[in-house]
Parts: sequence; C-alpha cells; structure tokens
Amino acid sequence: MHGRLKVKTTKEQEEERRVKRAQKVKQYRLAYGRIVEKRQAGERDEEGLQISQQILEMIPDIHSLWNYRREIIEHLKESGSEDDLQRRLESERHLTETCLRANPKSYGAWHHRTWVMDSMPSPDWQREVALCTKFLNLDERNFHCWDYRRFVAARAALAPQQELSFTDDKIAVNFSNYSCWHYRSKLLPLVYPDPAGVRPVREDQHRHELELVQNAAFTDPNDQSAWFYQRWLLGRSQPAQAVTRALVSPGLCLVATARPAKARGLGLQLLLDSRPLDGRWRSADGQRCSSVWVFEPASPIPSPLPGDVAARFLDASGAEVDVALDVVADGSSAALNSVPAFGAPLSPALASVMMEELDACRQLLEFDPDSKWTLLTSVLLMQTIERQQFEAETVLTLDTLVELDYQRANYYKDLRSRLVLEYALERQRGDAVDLTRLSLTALYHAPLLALVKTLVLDDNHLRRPLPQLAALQCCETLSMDRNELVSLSGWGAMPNLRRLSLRGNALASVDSLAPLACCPRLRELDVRNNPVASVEALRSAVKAVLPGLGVLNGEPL
Amino acid sequence: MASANDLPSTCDVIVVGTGMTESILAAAASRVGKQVLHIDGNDYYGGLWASFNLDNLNKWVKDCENPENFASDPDDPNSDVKINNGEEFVFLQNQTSHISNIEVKWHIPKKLTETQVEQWSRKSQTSQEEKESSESDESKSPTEEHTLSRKHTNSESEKMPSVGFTRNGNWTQEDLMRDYRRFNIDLAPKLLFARGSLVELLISSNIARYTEFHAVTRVLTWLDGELNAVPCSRADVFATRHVSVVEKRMLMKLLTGCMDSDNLVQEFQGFESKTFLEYLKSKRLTAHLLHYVLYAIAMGTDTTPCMEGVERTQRFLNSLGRYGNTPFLWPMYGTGELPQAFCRLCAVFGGTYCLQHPAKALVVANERCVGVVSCGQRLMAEHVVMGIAQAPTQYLDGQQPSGISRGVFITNKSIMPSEKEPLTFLQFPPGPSHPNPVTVIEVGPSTHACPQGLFMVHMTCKQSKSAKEDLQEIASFLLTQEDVSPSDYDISTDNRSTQTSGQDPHHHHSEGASGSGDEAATVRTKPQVLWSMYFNCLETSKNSYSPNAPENVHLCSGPDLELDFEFSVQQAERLFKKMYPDLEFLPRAPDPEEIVIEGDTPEVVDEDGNSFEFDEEVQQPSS
Repeated sequence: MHGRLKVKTTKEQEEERRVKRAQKVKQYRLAYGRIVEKRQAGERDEEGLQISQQILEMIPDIHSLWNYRREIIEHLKESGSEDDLQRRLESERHLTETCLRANPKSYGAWHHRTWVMDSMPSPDWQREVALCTKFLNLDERNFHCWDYRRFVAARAALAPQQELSFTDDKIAVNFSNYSCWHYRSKLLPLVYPDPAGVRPVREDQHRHELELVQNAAFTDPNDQSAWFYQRWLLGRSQPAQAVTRALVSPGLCLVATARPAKARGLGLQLLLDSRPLDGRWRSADGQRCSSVWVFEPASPIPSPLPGDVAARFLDASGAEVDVALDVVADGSSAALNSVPAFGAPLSPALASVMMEELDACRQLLEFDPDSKWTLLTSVLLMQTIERQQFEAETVLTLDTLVELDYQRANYYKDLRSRLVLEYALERQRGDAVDLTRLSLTALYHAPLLALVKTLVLDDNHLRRPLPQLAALQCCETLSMDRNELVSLSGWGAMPNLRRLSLRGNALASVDSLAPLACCPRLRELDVRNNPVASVEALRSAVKAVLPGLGVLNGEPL
Repeated sequence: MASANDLPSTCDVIVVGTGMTESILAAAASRVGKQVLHIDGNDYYGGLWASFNLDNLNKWVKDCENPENFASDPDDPNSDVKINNGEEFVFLQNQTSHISNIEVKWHIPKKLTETQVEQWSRKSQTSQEEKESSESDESKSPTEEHTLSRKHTNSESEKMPSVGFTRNGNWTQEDLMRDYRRFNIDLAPKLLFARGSLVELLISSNIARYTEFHAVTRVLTWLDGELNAVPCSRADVFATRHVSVVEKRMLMKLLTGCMDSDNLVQEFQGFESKTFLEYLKSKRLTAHLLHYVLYAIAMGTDTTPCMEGVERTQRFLNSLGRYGNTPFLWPMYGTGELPQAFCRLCAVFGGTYCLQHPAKALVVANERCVGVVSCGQRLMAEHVVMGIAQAPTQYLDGQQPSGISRGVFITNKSIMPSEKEPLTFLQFPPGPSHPNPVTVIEVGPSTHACPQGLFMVHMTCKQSKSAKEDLQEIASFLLTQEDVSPSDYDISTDNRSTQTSGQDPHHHHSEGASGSGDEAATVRTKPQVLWSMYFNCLETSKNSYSPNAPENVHLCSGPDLELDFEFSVQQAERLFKKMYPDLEFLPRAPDPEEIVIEGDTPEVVDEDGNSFEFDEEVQQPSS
C-alpha cells in the first residue's frame, strides 16, 4: 500500500532475514532449474506439479510455471478418470487461492484460475461468486477481480439485475471506481435496454444513472471515474454508416462515407440509370479501410449523363441503401453534397434531462470555476443538447480549458478544432470553403471536403502531418498561409491540386517540400516567408520534384 | 495477580487505582523497567472507568448508595502500622464520593408469561417476592436498587397488567437478569478518534494486540425534531438523499477548505475573534449543512470560536477513512477494557497486581511521600500515582470541580433501526432547555454491550442540575420511557378494564401507559426503555492539586467530559515525563517472535498476543 510507514528492524533481525532470503534464493534457483530440465525433457508428472507449486506459493507471478502446470494437468487428464481431474483441478483452484491471498493482484494466478474453472468437470460457480465478493469487499478497486467476476457471472449465468445491485453497493462504498462503473455500462443495456435504441439504456434508468453521476460530480468534481461513465451515458453513438459525399463525372467518380470501411464490405456501387457501373474501387489514401473511395470505371462515363445517378451501399443490417445524386443542369456531372449531420436528435425528454445536467454543471462552476471535468462535460452536453445554440459558449469554454489545464491543452485544442470545423461545414457547402482564422490545430472531417475545389486554411495552427489531405480529391487550390508547418511529410496525395500557397510557415529545407511529388498537377507553389524561401538551390530542387511547376513564389519558373 | 501477602514491600512505583491514566502510567513505568505495584481497593479494574455486567453494576450502585459497604481496609493503620519518627499518615478518600444522584429504574415487569398473566394473583406475587429480590416491596429502605414511584403504593392492587407489557416486546426483568453476564455497561463511555492519540499510542506501544474495536457506523444529529444521518465521509456525501447536489458541493468544499493547510491562514483571515457559526454563515451554507458542520462534525455550539471549530472539524476529518465510514472506534466489551489492556502490558513487564487491596493512607516524611499504607502493610516506593478520586482533600486545589451527567438506557431496539446493526454517535445540539450539547452513543449486541435484541444508549453532558434533570428531556426525544412499577399494575389493570373509554384518571404518563394496541402501534416508533440509570460524576480534568502535595505523588484525573481519551493519554505522558524525564514513554513492545529467552527456544511472550479473531466487523488498529 502507498504511504505506509516501514518499521525499521533490528540488526539481528535483518541478518536473520538475509540468511533466510539467501536460503530461499538458493532453493528457488534449484527448483526452477529442475523445472526447466523437466519441461525440456517433456516430463509431465506429479513431481513437476509439486516443485512448481512450491515456487508459486512464494512467487505467484511466474507465468511459465502456471503454463507448465496446465500442460501437466492436460497430459495427466488423458490417463485419469473424470473424478481424478475434478480433484486435481480443485487442488489447483486451492493453489490459486493461496497465491491470491498473498497477492490479490497476481495476473498469473487469476488467469490460471479462469482456466481451472473452465476445465473443471463440475465447477461450483456460486463459490466463485462468493470469492469475488469477498475480494472486492477487501479492495473494491481490484480490477483483476472485477474482470474475473464478469467471467464468473457469465458462466454462472447470474441475473444481470443481481450483478447491477452489487455494483450499486460498491459504488456507494467508493464511487471512484472505474471497474465498477464499467461493469455497470455492460449490465445496464442488458437489464434496461432502450426500446428506441437511441440511448444506451431505457430512458427512466438513464435519468437515474445521470443523477448518480451528478451526485458523484458534486461530491468530488475532480474524480474522473464518474465523468468517464457519464461520457458513456451521454456519448453520441457512432454515426450510422452513410454516404456523405459522391461525385459522378467523366473525369472523376468518388464516394465519401461517414465512417471508414472497406469498399467490398460496404458493397459500394454507383448506379447509372439504375444500372450498376462496371469498374473498380480504390481508396483515395491507399488504405484498405478508407472513408473516400475513387471509382475507376471500366468504360468512360457518358456525357451528358443518361438518367438518374445513385450511390449504393449496405447498411449495418446488410440491406441495400441507395442515395440519389443531384445531376447538374447540363447533365455533365452528378453530385451529393448534403448538409452534414453532426448531432443525433434527442427526444424532448432526454433533451430536458441533458439540460438539467448542463444547469448542474453551471451551478458546479459557480463553486469551482476552474473544475476542468465540469467544464469539459458542459462542452459535451452543449454539443449533445443543441449544438447550434451553444457555439460561442462551446468555444469560450474550450479556450478556458486550454488555459486551465495546460498539460492537456493540445487535447482541448484538437477538440475545439473539430467542433469549430463542424460549425463551419454546416454553413459552407460550395466548391470553395474558407476556414481562415479558426485556430485549427487538426483537420477533422476531411472526407466532407472531398468535393471542394478551393480550400482556404489560412491563419490556423496546423503543424502535424496531414495524411487526411488525400480526401481532397477535387481540390485545385489550397491555401495554408501562416500556419506552423515545418514539413510536408505525410501529406496525402491531391491528384487535382494546381495551386498551393504555404506562405508564412516554418518550412526550412528543400527536402521538406519533397512530398509534393504526390501532387503531379501542381502548377503554382508559393513558399514565401518561409526559411526555405531563401535557400539558393530552391528553384532547381523544386523543379526536380515538380517538373510541371510553372510558378514559384509568384515568379515564373 | 499477587496475593496480599507477597506484595513487594519496596518498589519503584505504587499505583493506587486502575483508572485510565493510572493504568497508562503503570504500563509506561513497567515498560521502561521500573518495578510497579498496582493496587485497587475494588474487586474490578477501571474504577470510575469500569464496565460492568448487570449484576456487578447493581452491586456498584448499592455501594455508591451505601459508601460504608465499600470495600474498606479492615485494619486501622494507626494501630497496626508503625509510624516512624518524622512521618505522618495522610488519609485517602473513598472514590464513591465522586458519584451522586444515582437513580436506577426498571421499566418492565419482573416476570411475565402468558399463563402468569392469566393466573396472576396475590398469592403468586408473594411467593415471587420471597424468591426474588425486593424490587416490588415498598417497605424496603430507600437504598434499594430501584427508585420506585411512591405515589400509587397500594399493595392491594398489585395485579399483573397485560396491555402495557405486550408493547415492551415482552421483555421482563427476569429475561435481562438471566443474561446479566452479557451486559457491559460503561461508567465512562468514550469513543476513540481513528487518528487520536490513544489509537496511535495503542499501535506504537503494541498494546493494540490486547484490544478489539468496532468502527462506529454512523453519525446522527437531531434536526427539526427528528434524527438525521450526517453525511460525513465522501461516500456518505455521495450517497445521501437528504441534501441536494449543490449542498453536496458546498459541504465538500467547506470541509476540504478546513483541511487545506496551505490556505488556512488566508481562508480564516478576519475570523480569528469570531465564532465558527459566523464563519459558516459567511459561507452561505444552507441551514441543514450549517447544522451538520457546527453541531455534528465540529461538535460545537453557537459560541464555539472559529478556530476551535476549525480544529475540531480537522480532528474529525483527519480520522476519517482509516477504519470505517466514520472517524470513531468503540472498544469491544466496553471502555473498561482499555485500562485493563494497559494493566496487562504492565504485568507482562513484571508489574505486580493486587485488586481488593485498598490504600488507606500515604506515608509522608519531609514533604516526600515514602510509601502507602495498605491492609496493614507499609509499601514503600519512589513514586506514588493515584486517581484524584482518592486523593487526600488537602492536596486538591479546593476548587469545586464541575460535574458530568450520565444516563444509561437499555432499550428494545435502535433509535434509528438500520439494515446492519448500527453503532451510533449522536451529538445532541444544545437547545433552549438544555444549554449543553449531549453526547449520545448507542451500542448494540455485537459490541458485547448487551444481549441480542437489545441496545444500550449512553448519554453524557456537562452537569447543570441532576443527571436526570439534565438528560431526561433528550431521553424523551429519543426513547419512550414507561414507568412500570408495582404501583402501576393498578393503573394498567384499570386501563384494561376501561380500554374502550380511553381515559384513565390516574394516568400520569402522557404517552407511556396509554391507549389501545392500535395507538401503540403508531406511537411505538421510538425504542422502549427497559432499564435506565442516571448518575452524576465529578469532572476532575480541570483540577490541579495544590503545591503542598509531595512532588512524588502524582494525581490522575477521573473521566473527563470530552468524547475521546485525548486528555488521559496526554496527562499520563505528562506525568511520566515528570517522573522519568529521560526515559521513553511507552516504546513499542516487542512482538512475541522477537523475544528470545536465552538458552531456550524462542518463546511466545503472551499467548493472547495472537488470539484475536479477525473478522470483517472487528477493526484492529495496526500499523
């Protein structure tokens, strides 16, 4: 245990202990050596069990010894009766118990016990439940035991309701308990499934759980275990798979999806006049699992398009879903460019619960304006309740968090980047998207930008590699002036990029520009106000990387 | 235990009386190698700190009422023991003089069975009286154990009632007396703060191995005319449904603020000369929270100075989270066990014990005490330690000590029943009719205070009138007391016959004996008192003794008013340092396995050292 005072012992005692210890080490070496010999010789016998038991009783964390025991028992099983096996495994169970008593957090002993119980011809699961209860009464945060309890509960087919009330008791003793909250999150959907499938649990129980978290939060806002649990309760469920962007034109066909997937698994197809097009899919970023898929048709796309255009994919249940693309007036191309849905709609009842939670957070903040978990939670709540209404407050709160919790500042900045981008993408859906001065540190939702032709990211804080740029399959002009780029390594390929402006970044070496080779159509590049701009060999080096480049830093090449 | 004949006639320290401070001192002296003789005139340990079973308690009560019955030295020291030249005898007092206003009362009938109810007659009554003791006999002297209501003395009407008794859960005096050994009734009930000096001393000195404790399970308070659980730990605050979440935050913030030693000065700036109440009000606490913090957690009053309130809050909070859900421990078998634990250590290190061995006088020569006269013997020593209760009057400062009012009640259920057997601490806040807070401790059968099915309630407060007057109002808030004495049989019989009329002209207990079964069921939410005792005891912790006492006579106070043992431990340590300035106070006693007796195989020093049962309920202070 932490912080316990160690009692100094007298010299004689220390000496006595040293001698004892030396003896123990000698015995251990001898015994372990013998085990290794035996195991190598393939001897799987009683002697092996005896010797390994002696060592394990002293040191329960030697996995090899547990494994050896398992080998021996499995071997002996073949020649013995079922009763023999039962007896043997019972004594095995006893051994793990002895070990766990000495070290209740022994990985090896818990793991071995799982095997023992699973192999036992007639296991007594109730006894195991009682054992778990006992261990958890002694230390309610022993996650090994919580793990084992879940295993036992499944085997013993314990009523989830009963287990849930066990977690009730443990939470009451000490709510700072990740394992216990986690177990609740596993049990609640079994006991109180939500018929509507919107929430993790039925609405009335959901309310109760939120109250529980609120009590924990107001008792100790700095304890993060309950906040984590609350996140599960409030968490937006994974967005359903959907086609968010699509384009069919003679020059380029692509589909962007809400979540990364494999084209085959997703059953992606493009339909022209209700007939599937023949051809093959390739991911924009070269990954097997991707959110942007480019279609290479076997025969050219006719122009004008002969009729309706649709994209087809399989939803979670395997049913085909068709999404119609809008065909432009002259019939030259068809596109899907709908308003993205970032928040799942809430039922009025749930919305009012969330509103109460938000009010509670605000009250809490009156007492502790600096409580980071409360601030963060209020952001998540605002996003869940009515994101449009809370745009300014969301950004403001995240700014506060960046100040308060500098160790996690980058996390908050990234979160802010995502939310700010979501607001922006709801407003801008044209060919040109302007994301200037949004304090972005990361570029989220790139697949939603798959159809954008002009993207302006000036005056942000982008610094890290941007492989997600590969989603910008249509982008012809990209401006990232006054960011913090030091290198372009890791950039995704933008096949249609013609103009790239990187003024006022921190690009220092010519090598840092090399990745631009993956943008073969680049005609104009601007790297003024970068250290690299003053490099003498810049022009020739750039020319080598980008033979097609016509204009560098505003001057013809 | 030594027999009176082989007491060492010369030793380093003679300790007279086995009270708490005396016993700690005896252990401390013995532990550093001093030859200790520890004597006590009583046939039990603990003096005013003792715990008794029901039978022994009755004897003690009798002795208190008849001081001449008290074990006394049969010999006149003047005749038997020679006074040497230049010596004088200074006679000691009898400790019962510290007890007054003692009142013991049964609230249930002596005996009851279904058939007896039916066959009740004067004849059987008389035979019972002959067989048993004299409770129902009005003609006995007033020194008998029971204070009887004389108002309705009427031997003609002594008939067994039925209505009144069924409501007592059918307990009878006989039931309780049959189990008299299962009671441990404390004269000085006290709790230990989990990080208080006694717990630390028990651990550091290794005396903890002689003791067992239960953690107090809950802290209650009296708020708006009812009992309330005080959320005092983090888990309590989380779980309570009685305060809003906002109050939870207020409470936690206030409590953590009191513990934040870095900002303490800043936090309490400007409140140095104000009361704790004023501070709490400045924090805009709700009325409930203010009550919890001021009266229950800080155990204060409206006039408690701010910094004292903070200190008390800190003491409470510091002790949280060590042994249970509250900061308190209660000794199994009663507080009387604790002095005995120290005596045991003293004996292990060679101290000699002799009970029923009263000290008669001190032998003083040249302003130094040279020894003690006891049972016709002169026992000589360097130092004499004794309880203040026995100290010669001329050694006391003459200041009239204040008093403690005590009430003890055996009840038929807990003041607030709960799923698991509760062990309750309740600091009853001062009110208009009781200017002093009352400390209430309720213990149950698992602490061995009483048999299964019963509870014992201890009340303690500063004395202002008699114990009964000081405490009976609080008792009536928490408990229902019926007077069942032979004289009441009459009324109850009347009751039975006039049940339908619902009125009883003789009836003098508003709630107690009234009503039908139905009414009883609704009224009977409070526990029923089966037996009660009130007494007053002097509070001597503030007294000092005058400088004309010899400097090698060390006086130890009796039980003090405080909840814990802090005072005794500190007093013992202080006196020890005065006796032996260069020696360590109760260093850790070696464990049995650390003791090796030369030329022998290692031997266990004390077989009891390893004998505790360690189950979940029992808390064992250990390092």
